[in-house]
Amino acid sequence: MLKDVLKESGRVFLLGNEAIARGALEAGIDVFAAYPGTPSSEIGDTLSKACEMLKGKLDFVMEYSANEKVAVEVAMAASLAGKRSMAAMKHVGVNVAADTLFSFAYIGARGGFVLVTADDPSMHSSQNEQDNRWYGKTANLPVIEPSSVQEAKDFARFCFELSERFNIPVILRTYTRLSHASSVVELSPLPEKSFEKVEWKKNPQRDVILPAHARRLKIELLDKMEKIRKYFSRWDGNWIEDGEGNIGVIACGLSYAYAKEAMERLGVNLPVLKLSSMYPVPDELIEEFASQLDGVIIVEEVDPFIELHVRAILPGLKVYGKTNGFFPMSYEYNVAVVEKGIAKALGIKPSMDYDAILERGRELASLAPPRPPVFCPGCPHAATFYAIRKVVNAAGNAALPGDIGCYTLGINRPFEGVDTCVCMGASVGIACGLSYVIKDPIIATIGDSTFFHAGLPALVNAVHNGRKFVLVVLDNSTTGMTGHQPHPGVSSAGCGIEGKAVSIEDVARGMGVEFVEVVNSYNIGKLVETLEKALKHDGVAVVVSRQKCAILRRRELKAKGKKVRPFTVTDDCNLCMKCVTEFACPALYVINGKPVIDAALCIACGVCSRICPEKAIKPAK
Amino acid sequence: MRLDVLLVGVGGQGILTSAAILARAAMNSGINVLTAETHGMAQRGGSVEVHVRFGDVKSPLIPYGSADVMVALEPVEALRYTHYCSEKTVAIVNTKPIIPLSVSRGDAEYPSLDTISEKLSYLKSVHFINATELAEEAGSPQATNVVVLGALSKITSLNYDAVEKALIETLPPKLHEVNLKALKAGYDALKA
Repeated sequence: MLKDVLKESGRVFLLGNEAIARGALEAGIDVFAAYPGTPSSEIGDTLSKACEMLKGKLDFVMEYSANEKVAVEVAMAASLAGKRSMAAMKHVGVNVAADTLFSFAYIGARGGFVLVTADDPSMHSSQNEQDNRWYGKTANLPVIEPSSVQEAKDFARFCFELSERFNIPVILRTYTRLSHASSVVELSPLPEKSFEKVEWKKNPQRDVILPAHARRLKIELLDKMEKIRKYFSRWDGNWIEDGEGNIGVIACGLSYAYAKEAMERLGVNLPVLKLSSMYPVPDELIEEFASQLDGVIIVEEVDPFIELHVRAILPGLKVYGKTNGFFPMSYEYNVAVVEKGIAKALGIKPSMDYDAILERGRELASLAPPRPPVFCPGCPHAATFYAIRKVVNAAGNAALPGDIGCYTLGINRPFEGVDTCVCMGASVGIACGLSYVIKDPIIATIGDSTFFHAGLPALVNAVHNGRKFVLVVLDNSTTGMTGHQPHPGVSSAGCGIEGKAVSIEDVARGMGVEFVEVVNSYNIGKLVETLEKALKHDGVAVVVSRQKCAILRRRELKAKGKKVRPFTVTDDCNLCMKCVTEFACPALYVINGKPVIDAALCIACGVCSRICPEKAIKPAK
Repeated sequence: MRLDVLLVGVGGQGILTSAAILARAAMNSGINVLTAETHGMAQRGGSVEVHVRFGDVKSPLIPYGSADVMVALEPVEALRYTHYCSEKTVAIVNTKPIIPLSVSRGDAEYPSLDTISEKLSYLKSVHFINATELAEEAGSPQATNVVVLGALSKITSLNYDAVEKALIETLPPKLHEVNLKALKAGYDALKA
């Protein structure tokens, strides 16, 4: 909890992401920038509140940026001016920011700069499980990976020092099971500091990345990385634990926790190299560890990153890893996965028959009806997708490129309103491309935050190239999926300050879109009518479907002490079941063959009453 | 002390709050505690699991087949997570179903409580309680997540007074009365 993050000292219970935020505060951060994305979002949320609460004690600047590239640029600029800065994002956000990051590596950091990448092995909330340690290797940047919530805090602080010691941007890699794990953390004191603007010192020989400069800087960068590689062989975040036998374990990041527990369950005590610096790989330390061993078991999540390196530097060493089938190439690890891998390498049996346990689990789970995530009761996106489905059914067929956010759930029955989902902003680019090659009408959907994040360049592209499609902007006035952060379209900003709300419709008109209409998402009739009109428009048509996120709506009503008057299904119902088969509200379900509304869940959006052909759904008396 | 508790249910039932109360109770008693949560996409009315591990452990996730206790705030969710359970696991299962849309639409069937009970019979023991009803009697169905904590403290080494104190520290004062009643109701609902 926030009050624990802000405590002066002592032992507190922190979420992994809160611990990273605390580490940044202990380091005396000056500038923080982020675009939210699971599992990274709570870092920004914590620092947004901390920025407000610590005014006058520990002053720093914090913003939610329009996207990850902008976030890295904002934080990079602070570093160039000598300030300590951090940018945080989910793993795929680093792809968006990568262009900036690669040049920044050459230019180098002045004030400490930390990029937090929150990877998502097993893809709990993501489109892929890319292993962002590769960014360290390809961009030539150090990568640090903690193994516990305590280390998440300590390493976050350490990364600033590392960055300043070698004048280089540093990547801190966390992942779902660490970012969303909570544990007891011993705090270090918070510094008292003010925030003052400084004079801009020009340094074009470094900061202007012309080819001539870049050629020189590349050599410098490689030299820095070599020094850091040597430093990591002595750094106390990596260590060797003595054990028994001639096979050792190299345990990376959180896999250290799994490996330690797995060995305890197996009743073995192998020598362990606990590795927290993923790149540059400390060759000397690995050589020292392997010198007394016949083989090493390498435990690391997602890609065989360390494994391939160890195979390259020690070709004679027996290696048990992913590439030879001791560990899986996909999905996150856990104690069972690691225990099975170690047992196989040692030729012993695991402590339990995990396969049998999983098999029985699968069998019982198959009896449980699926419960995938759904639109919340009163979600305006559900209303918009209902209207889109009506229009598509009338048109016969349509291509429906979608995007990233809560509204990706529009893929589900009965809406089936999402044909493609690729990455942030791709709905618009895909719509552009499809308009060249398909005969069917196209209705693309994108959320408000995603529209500003990466939708804008594609929309300009569509207008300029004379494309024809409908773009529905699902504007719920927040970044919903990640926990309701502000975005450029709303009047609040990070750190509790007021932001200027940029109007989506004005942006679209300014870009040259000639058909722009704004409709209340709950007004199904108007929405259907507007979409039909938009489909007839010869060009790009933008329909902004606007209604506040139902979770925010409920919270605001509660804060004002207002009670909603829920709807109820009256005796006029003729059991046509269209409210259930054509619209899917979790507050509306079937008992004994009759639709019923759960009064505790209903937030009185009234959409079900509007779509009921018998007008049988009315506010409860 | 070592104790692995798996809390499962449906997004919105307050499982994260239950875990926060348990963690605070452990902290106050000087016991190490680790939790692993579900966020993001999975929270939108979907199935949710939270792992709470007490004692000298490092992995945030309970190893498969190793939960000492599974607390299910919804009956079919108990079936969904038995890969964390074994013949040594004790379960506490709320009997009030939350019907998923897949069932309302007729795409899937909701098994009877008898079927669920029979399928879970290999566990060490299963305590079925109508936690939602007990929470309603205490003043609010929202307190279902606290009723099960009362029941949990009855059958484990978790100290009731420590849980009660943690509850007071975690929840805002206006919710104390209802939730203290709910905690007691859960405790009294089970035989030690």
